[in-house]
Amino acid sequence: MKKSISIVCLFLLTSLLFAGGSQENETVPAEAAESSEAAADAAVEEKILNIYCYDSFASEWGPGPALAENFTAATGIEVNLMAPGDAVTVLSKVILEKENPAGDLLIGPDNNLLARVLAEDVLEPYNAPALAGIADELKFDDTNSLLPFDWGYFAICYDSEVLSNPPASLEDLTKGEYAKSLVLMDPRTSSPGMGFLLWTRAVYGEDYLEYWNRLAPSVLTVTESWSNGYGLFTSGEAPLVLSYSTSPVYHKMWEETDRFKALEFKEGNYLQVEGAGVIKGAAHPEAARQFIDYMLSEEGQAIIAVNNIMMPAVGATQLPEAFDMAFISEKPLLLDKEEIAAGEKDWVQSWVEKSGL
Amino acid sequence: MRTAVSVGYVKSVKEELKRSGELRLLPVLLFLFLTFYLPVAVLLLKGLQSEGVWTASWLKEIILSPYYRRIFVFTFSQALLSTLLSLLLGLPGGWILSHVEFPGKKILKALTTIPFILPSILVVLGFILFWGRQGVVNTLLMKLTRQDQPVLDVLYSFKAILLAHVFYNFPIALRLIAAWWEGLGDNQHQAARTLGASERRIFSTITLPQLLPGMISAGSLIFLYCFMSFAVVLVLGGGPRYSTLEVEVYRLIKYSLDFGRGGALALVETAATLFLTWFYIRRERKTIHRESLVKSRIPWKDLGLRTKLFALGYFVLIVIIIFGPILTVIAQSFLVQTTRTGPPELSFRWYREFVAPPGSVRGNSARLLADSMRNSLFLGFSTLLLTLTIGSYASWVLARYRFRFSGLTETVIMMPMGVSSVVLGMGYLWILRGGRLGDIPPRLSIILAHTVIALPFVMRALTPAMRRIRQNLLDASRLMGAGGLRQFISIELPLVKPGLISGGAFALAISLGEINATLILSDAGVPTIPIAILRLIGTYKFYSACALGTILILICLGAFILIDSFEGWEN
Repeated sequence: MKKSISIVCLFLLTSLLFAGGSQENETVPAEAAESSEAAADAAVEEKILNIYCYDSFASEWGPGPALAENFTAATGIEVNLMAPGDAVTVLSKVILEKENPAGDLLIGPDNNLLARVLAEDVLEPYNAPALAGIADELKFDDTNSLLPFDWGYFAICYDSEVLSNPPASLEDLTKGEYAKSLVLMDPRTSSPGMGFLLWTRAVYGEDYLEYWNRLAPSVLTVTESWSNGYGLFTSGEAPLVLSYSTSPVYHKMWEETDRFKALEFKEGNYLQVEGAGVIKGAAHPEAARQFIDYMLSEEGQAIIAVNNIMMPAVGATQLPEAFDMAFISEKPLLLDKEEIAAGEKDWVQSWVEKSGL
Repeated sequence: MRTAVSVGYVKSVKEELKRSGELRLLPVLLFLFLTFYLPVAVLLLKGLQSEGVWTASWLKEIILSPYYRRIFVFTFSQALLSTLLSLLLGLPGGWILSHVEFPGKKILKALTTIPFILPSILVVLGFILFWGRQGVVNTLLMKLTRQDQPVLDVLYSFKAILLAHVFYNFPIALRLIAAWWEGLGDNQHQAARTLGASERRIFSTITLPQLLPGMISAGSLIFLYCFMSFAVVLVLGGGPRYSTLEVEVYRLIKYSLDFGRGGALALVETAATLFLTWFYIRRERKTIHRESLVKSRIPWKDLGLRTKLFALGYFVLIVIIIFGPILTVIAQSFLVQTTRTGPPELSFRWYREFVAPPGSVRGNSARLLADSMRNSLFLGFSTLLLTLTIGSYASWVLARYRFRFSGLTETVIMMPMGVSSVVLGMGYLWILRGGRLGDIPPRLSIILAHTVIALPFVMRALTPAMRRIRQNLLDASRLMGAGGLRQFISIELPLVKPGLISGGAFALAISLGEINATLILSDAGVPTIPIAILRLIGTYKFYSACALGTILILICLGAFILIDSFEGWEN
């Protein structure tokens, strides 16, 4: 009995798969025709918008659902949030389906991913009117393919109940009093990890490995993701962690504690700007542009800042008091995208082999 | 007359055995091809291509690089050590579970499967809260020894990697060894005892050789699991000096989108695991014993004092290693630090905040909780049913039919165990590109993916048991008129019941804990409990994540106890 059921099940399942496959072949040309029609006449565009974003942006506690709800209420356009993983996975998906894009808008790649976005040519430039209200140093893409919507610095955060004398610079971090106190992330698997590597590169140039070797005794461990590292920090395992300048805002706003603080360093802090862009060949480019406009509006910027815990890109945005916990650096650091694209792999490889960790 | 019948019958059986088993496994292989081999092969073959032209240059670069050679050697040796340790620790437990009857056994069995369902982030967190510098163990030791520095420095070293791997894999060893041991008879032991052999001699000359196939089979799974290890090695090892191949595959394929080098490295990794799986399967088949199943369990009160003490000591060890970190996660979800320096207080704050987070005007969170529970349970039980159906059919064919390439065929079924989840995930991304599978409901594709991932566990639990059923028992049943399907249902399935239960528990646990494939295949449209945990952690809500982790553990325990209660289903 079981055997025959299993065989029937299997054939049903496999035939389902094949059925899906053959239907797909039929629908592809139809979709293509539809998209060319849409491009030809934006006025009759369907009232749908497909957005690719990273998972925590689309989550119940992220800005995605609130933005989508308000946008639909205002324009009548149905929003479909698709989040197959973190920012890198989402970008991979958009690159893989370059020939036949399923999404209209891509939300998430930061300044460190810009070179890859431009090299793969997956986005279409959009000169949004709201760009006028954004500070020049945040406009990290001069082609306007990726438009900045929020930003922050990578920063070392500390637990003020454990450390009375926090470090004030990258140099301070190497002091003996911070032995085994710092949690970092691996640049091979995490974007803050990559950000910190670029930060040391921006400050120390060719000598960055020498700095890492001096830093090694202070490092407790190197985690594969920000989530894991920050978890170690809040559970009290280490008093120092690599995170964002805006991290304390969360604890202030939702946990009413100013125990955790971000440190502004003398050498400057490395900048992270997150961007959104219209996907090339999208079926609904006009809706995508409207959504970008909404993200950069006063209301949209406030929702993003509060729910994503990042600084809004538009300078004039009204923010809750808790955002005073995030510092504004005197010296924002940023490496040139060509320099990153050319050197990144070698820097990481040398770091793995010679950082002393 | 009777002998003539049976001789003729044996002949016909032999003829039947000659028929190719590969053909009968075709549906299973087809299923694996579509849900596993196609997406994986697509990605691995990119390691042999450069701008559309076939080339071995990536492969050559990887093999000749001393850096990757070093990582390979480390990956291999840590996996081997972890496997040996897990087996060693699982052996006494396997004996206790299979030979002794004691109260709370079902719950204990259910508890050991928990490491599987927790997302690795929560496991690592539990480890640090328990073993860490400010963790439970060190706080206790510091109080006992009146020191103010951490006493035990376990974490951020090679020791910690081994400890975590034992934590994860000891349950596999325990369950698979117990399931195997349950099927072993003790008439050889009785005979040896009558002949005056010492217990030690009996253990080393009879029990151990009998157990070997079961241990090798459990060991092969554990080895592959440790070989693929990723977050645990990096975080608990303390940094890049302990990197595994999986970290590098992640770096190249997922982070740098370097499909050439990444594909080549994944190809090397897969070739290694393929060879290992094949090797183990061949070894296992050579040492197969066909034993009878007569068996009675000793009640706890009849055990000797020394055995009792030994068993108790062993339980304490398990509680510390396995449940210490898990219990810490659970405890953390009920604790709130109200004042800066005061002791933490009992509170349901993190549970309340999960249902209604502060400052939120939307009721989405409560709905997510309900949705994710429903999704997790639906996916879990569908996977369980599908995996057991496919698994029992496949292991039955493997045990009853003759194969031209039997080792290879089994390896093909076991292979999902030895392929990195990054490769599988990116393969799915490729298959799904442009909404190509848009017409298949995401729930179905997730169930299929979970089934592929869980199938090796079910196969490991079932195949050895299926092979051990003695041919003469089947011949007898056939002579008595119970052929084919009836024989399968009334004789073979009940005989492999421990394997079915153990495999089913693993399948459910794997499905309940899986994140990567679920996220990619549904575009996050089918939230499960682990996905909700991931989202909580990704937005600073660590304690609410612990709370949801606790809920996941409770759901799981309930489900496992339900599965184990099927123990008496044939009566």
